[in-house]
Amino acid sequence: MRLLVRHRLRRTRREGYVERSEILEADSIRIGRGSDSELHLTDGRVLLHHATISLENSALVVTADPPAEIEHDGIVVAQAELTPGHIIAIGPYDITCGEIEDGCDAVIGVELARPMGDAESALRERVRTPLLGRRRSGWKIGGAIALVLLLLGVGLPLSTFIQSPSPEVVSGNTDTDQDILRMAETLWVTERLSRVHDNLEAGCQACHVAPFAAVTEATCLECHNTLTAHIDPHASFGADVNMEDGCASCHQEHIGPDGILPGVAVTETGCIACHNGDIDPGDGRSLAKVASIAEHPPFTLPTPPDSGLKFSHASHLVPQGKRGPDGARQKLGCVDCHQSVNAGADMTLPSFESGCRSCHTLAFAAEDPNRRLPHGSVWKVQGEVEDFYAAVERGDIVAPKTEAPPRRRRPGQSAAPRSFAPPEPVPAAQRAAAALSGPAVKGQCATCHVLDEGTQVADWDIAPVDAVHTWLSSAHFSHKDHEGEAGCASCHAVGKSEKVSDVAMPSMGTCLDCHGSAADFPEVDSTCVSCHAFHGTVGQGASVDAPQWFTDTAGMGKTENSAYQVLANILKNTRF
Amino acid sequence: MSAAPLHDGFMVHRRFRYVWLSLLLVAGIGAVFHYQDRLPTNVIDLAFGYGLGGLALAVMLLLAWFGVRKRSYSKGAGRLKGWLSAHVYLGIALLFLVPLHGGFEITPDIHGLAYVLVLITVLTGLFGVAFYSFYPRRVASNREGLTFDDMVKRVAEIDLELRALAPRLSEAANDIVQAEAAGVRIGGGVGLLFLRPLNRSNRARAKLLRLGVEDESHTRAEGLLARKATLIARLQRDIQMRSRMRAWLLLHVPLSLAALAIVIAHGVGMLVFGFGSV
Repeated sequence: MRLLVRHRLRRTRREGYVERSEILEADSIRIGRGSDSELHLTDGRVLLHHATISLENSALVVTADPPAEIEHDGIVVAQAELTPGHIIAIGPYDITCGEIEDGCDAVIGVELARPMGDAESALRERVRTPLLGRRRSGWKIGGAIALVLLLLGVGLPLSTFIQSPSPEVVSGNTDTDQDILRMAETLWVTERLSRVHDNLEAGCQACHVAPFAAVTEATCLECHNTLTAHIDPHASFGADVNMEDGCASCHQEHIGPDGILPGVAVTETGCIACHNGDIDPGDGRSLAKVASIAEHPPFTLPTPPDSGLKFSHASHLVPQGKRGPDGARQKLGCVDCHQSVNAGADMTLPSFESGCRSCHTLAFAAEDPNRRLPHGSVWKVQGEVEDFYAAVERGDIVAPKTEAPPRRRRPGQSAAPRSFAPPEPVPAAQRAAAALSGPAVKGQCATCHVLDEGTQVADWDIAPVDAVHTWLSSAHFSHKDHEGEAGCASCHAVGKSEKVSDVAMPSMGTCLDCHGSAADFPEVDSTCVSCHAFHGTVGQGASVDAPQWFTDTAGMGKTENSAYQVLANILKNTRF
Repeated sequence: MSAAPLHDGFMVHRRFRYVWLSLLLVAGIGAVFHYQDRLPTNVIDLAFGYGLGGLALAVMLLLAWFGVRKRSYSKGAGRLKGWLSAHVYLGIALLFLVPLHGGFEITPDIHGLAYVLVLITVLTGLFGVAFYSFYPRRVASNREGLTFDDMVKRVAEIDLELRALAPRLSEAANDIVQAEAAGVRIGGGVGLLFLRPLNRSNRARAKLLRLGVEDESHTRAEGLLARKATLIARLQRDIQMRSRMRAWLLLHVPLSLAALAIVIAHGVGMLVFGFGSV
């Protein structure tokens, strides 16, 4: 068989093909991808031996070589006769029958009708690998982000630091631009300022006066210029006492709203570091050992002086009450005599006028029950009494008339009044002297006062009166902070006190019932500075009983010289 | 003679030289942190603030320099593998150094941001280490000796075969095959990093089986779909693994630069407030 094969390579613009012709001569022609096939088709979908063409009775017959399949007009067949107008498909190739030409037994056309390229490229278009596509890198976008962050995080805040604060910023009259700068400044803030420094209008530069320099205590003392020092700058300290940072040794800023006020940290390290019983501050005093709040030493109360008074809390606080001037009984409480002052912080010692007079009226004469003795001076009392009886004698004061009882007569006698001679009038001076040395005056004074006999006009005088006005000299205590349901008696046991010399101050143990254990009463502030102030204030003396050097260093912040001198001395004389 | 391994990766480079270095660094600083009560407070503040902060910054700059060093493969000191080994283990050391520097406290400000950014950067790096340790071998075994293009080509061939087969199928089966051919998708973006989409070819095959038609064409179509499903599953796994190996770096690099910028802002801020004042 001599077969002319027209390989149709591609279509022309008209209805033709660009063709390559090939003449094959064999009895039967094998079709396949294998190199031993006479009709060699290269597409991968064609098997090595796919089919065989043979001439049978002048008809072209195509037979599939199993397992290959061929299709005749779209139907899978094992064998098909190739006739004009029909197509046999072998893999992607279409085989058609052509017009027989001279010198050939048959002519066929072979066309790669279903090229792989289209299907493959169509599929490739569906393969999406955005993360693999180009050699992507994060350097560009990362670099851009980093630049922006550097500008925002370094440039902006630094620019606000380098320029000096404008007057608007300092006064708080910030416009929008300044607001942005203030916000930029706060970018670097580690933790918010303490509440007491909220008023620092100049922003960071109020304290951080120069960039790249630590805040010095001189800056602190510009505002805190009335403080006095606590520690003797000439004393030597134990190894644990580190005052290297000046104010910041105890007062740390940027550690939260309450941070600036030293709390537990100072209690347990700062105060106790010196108040440990070992340290001699060098001024002759020794610092009491306070190992912890719970082991606080007892109060050292002042010895009460000779008061010159007689007073019994017990007899005033009897449960049935005391009879007042009007005769009615009234039950007395603490606040009937002791008034609250200083916004509730302190309670007064009662004065006579505010505490005693309402019951002890000091009325002294029947002629005028409303006439009362003055209080405070025996001389005044004497003058008052003498004036009074002189006035009575002159008739300026007339005793209120009392109704005379109905007269009775004996049987047989007339009811006419008998005439009595009026009693001989007693001279006023005599009556006054009698009153002054009698129960009307002396007796009333002696109810409360110790009397010195044989000194004054009436042969007696009031003994000097003295009292302790401040029991706790080294600590501050506010009654207001302690008022509660427990009442005064929970601390001041005066219910059985008969004498003025009885001390009604509670013991340290009473304080420690609540302040001793932070675990039992977490809401109770129990640090050293809860009761003891550390710094003194110029003009008011120091809270702790002031040794001489307090006055030496008072107002140390007022001039730069003294402030630096004090702190420099502290540092110089400190052995760390 | 002991058989030296033909290849020791960056993980075991020079008998874990950089593992020991990092461990020593972390252990030493951890010990100081643990016993800080025995040292003066101001010394500790300086050591953990400025000292450790400066050290961590130096480590970060060294890690960032790896990005430059790896682009000049043959130039520069040391072997690139050593650089990578140091990069990995010093990076892991940062996971400890930064919290020690920050006192284990993350605050909602620029300082906390620096802390978090550094940690996240290192964590993305750890993903990179994991991906580069496991995936190259698995990508190779998944391909079974073929290239990616080979696999795509095979899918295309199967598609053509299916298309040719379609007219001989029943109407319902034809619909299934056509829909599958039209709907097939390979690959994906960020989503594919986490989840591989359902294999449509597998689903189509299951549908075809449910039709219950048993003739040669249907059996063949079902076989073709099974082969296609297998190929597509392998392609998806391949793309997923290789995308992961790229994606972590797309996070790692910008994050590391951002972290470096914020750390510098944090450090400059601390210095502006004055050495020793905070």
